[in-house]
Amino acid sequence: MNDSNALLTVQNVKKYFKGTKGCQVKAVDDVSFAVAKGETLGLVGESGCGKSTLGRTVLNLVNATEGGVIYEGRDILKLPQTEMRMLRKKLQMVFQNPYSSLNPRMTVLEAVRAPLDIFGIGTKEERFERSRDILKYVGLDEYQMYRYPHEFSGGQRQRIVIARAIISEPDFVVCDEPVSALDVSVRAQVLNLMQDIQKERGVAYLFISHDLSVVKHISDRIAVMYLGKIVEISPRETLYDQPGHPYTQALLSAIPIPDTDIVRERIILKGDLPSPMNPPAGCRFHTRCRFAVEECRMKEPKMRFDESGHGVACHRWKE
Amino acid sequence: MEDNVLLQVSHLRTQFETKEGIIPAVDDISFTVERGQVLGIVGESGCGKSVTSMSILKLIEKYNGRILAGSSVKLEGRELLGLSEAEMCNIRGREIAMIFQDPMTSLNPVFTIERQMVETIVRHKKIGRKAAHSTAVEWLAKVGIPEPEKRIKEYPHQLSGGMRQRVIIAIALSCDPKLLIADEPTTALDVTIQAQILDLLRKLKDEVNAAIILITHDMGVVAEMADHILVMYAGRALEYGTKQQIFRNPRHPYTKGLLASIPRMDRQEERLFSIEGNVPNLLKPVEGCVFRERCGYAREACGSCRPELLSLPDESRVSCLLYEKEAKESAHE
Repeated sequence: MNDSNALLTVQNVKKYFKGTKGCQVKAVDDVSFAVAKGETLGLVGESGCGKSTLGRTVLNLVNATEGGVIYEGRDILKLPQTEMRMLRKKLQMVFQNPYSSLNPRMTVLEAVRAPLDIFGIGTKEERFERSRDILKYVGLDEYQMYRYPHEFSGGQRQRIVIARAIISEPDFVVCDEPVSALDVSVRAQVLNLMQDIQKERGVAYLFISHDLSVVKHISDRIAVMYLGKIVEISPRETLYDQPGHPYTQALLSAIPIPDTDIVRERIILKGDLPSPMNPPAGCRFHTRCRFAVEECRMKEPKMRFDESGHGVACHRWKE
Repeated sequence: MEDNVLLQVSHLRTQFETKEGIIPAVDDISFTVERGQVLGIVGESGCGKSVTSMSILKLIEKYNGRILAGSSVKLEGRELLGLSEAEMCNIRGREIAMIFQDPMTSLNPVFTIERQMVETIVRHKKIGRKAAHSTAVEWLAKVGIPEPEKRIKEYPHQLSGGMRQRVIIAIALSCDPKLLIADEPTTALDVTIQAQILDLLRKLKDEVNAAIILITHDMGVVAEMADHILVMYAGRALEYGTKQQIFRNPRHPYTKGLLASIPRMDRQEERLFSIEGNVPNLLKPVEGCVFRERCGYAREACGSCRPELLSLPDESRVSCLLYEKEAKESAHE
């Protein structure tokens, strides 16, 4: 992807958390990528790899240690708080847990109208109408507007959260595990809704999930994270057909397929995820990698791209 | 054939009495588990799959649940539901072991792994502490824990999630149970760790020749592990068959919808199939079929009587009026 159609560019972002006794957790360590207008970038990785921290850092919800996020020609990580707040109507977020991300004392109408109230968009009547329309759009009836969150199921709540995120017509929404708390049959409803919204409103998503099959379904491009770093980034088809990084290969082969006729070779990774307090030197994956050689223990691999835009951070890629 | 039946559950009904009313969490479930086989019970949250397993072990009363008269759970022909608490204590852990979903909460944080393992082994196998210690170390090695002699002295918080689940599996299998109930054993784990644990369960199952009831919401996991599958929905059994029957030729509209609504790794679809609506509220008694309101094939008859679990010619079972004719034909043969 060239930079001219980039909506948002993330440049060398780092987020270190201070631990006890002076040690640091490098939750996000030198990550760069760009998101185009109206595309979905999937971000996958296992728990503790830093994907949620990255999502929050990109939206300036936690202060980055280093790096920048360029949106409309400005580095939003350096904006004063008042300006950042106004920009939030264009940069929104959907969290994983639809039970804790709605205020139990606000009716659904109030919750969804809140962004319009805060940003001072429209007259009182217009705000009401827009809230009613958007709730209808995500599948809620008018009589349900005055109800409280506890009266809704998990799937309905996540629709309400999505309605609240898109009511201010954002360009970019970070979705942090938006369907992980939902049951399979309800998950499909919410994924379809998110795709419809994107088609009709042209919003871009950073879709964070640990579930590779969901990410594959919804994303145009996918980035794979391991211990604070992006190890591979590529268009969807390439990632699933020709995974370049040994970690991506293992991750893909580990997913059980709901079909009894497909037999695959499985790569079982040895051991556990190393502690992010003390990540291995060189390539961070070398302790669990099938192909690791001396170079991998010594030198950290840089992300290399081929002409199709497929990037892999591995010394032995394409050998 | 009959001799092979290890566990026979018939007409199991478990209810919870709450302030709002009675919840029929498990409503007339019957199934059998054969020796050495894996039965997968699948369903979405709240469908009653965990309550089923807790009822088998008679652990449900602690949660204000009540198993109704007429229910039966037989292990090798012996009725479990009539046993006293003391007798059940000899069954739990010894004959039937259980692995719970969350490896973070199923070990006691203030005792070492050694103490928790040895306690179980001494209690059930009636052997000395020394012998129990070596059995424990042996099992830790079998489940793939490096340096078992050293790790056995550690406390649960010193182990990762995957390691803890291995310890729990070791405890469960160390008394040679005939049946292992695994309730979402890998749900709390990452996919690469899940792959390790499933691989381990498969290997150990052959080694100890135990039967497994695997409870999960993940169709991928059952496709890989199970021999037979029971599909539950809102407390009822909707379909039962071999793994191949369920995946190649799902019969019940719910099973069909469930399989179609999962994003697939092996193909790309523009749009997912989605089952409209939500799971019914069990506080309101359901007339007729529980899936009726979300079903594309629902007819008037679906609302009037509850469909039986019909036996089909290929020995699978389905609880749906669409298959009445097919079932009658098989009954005539």
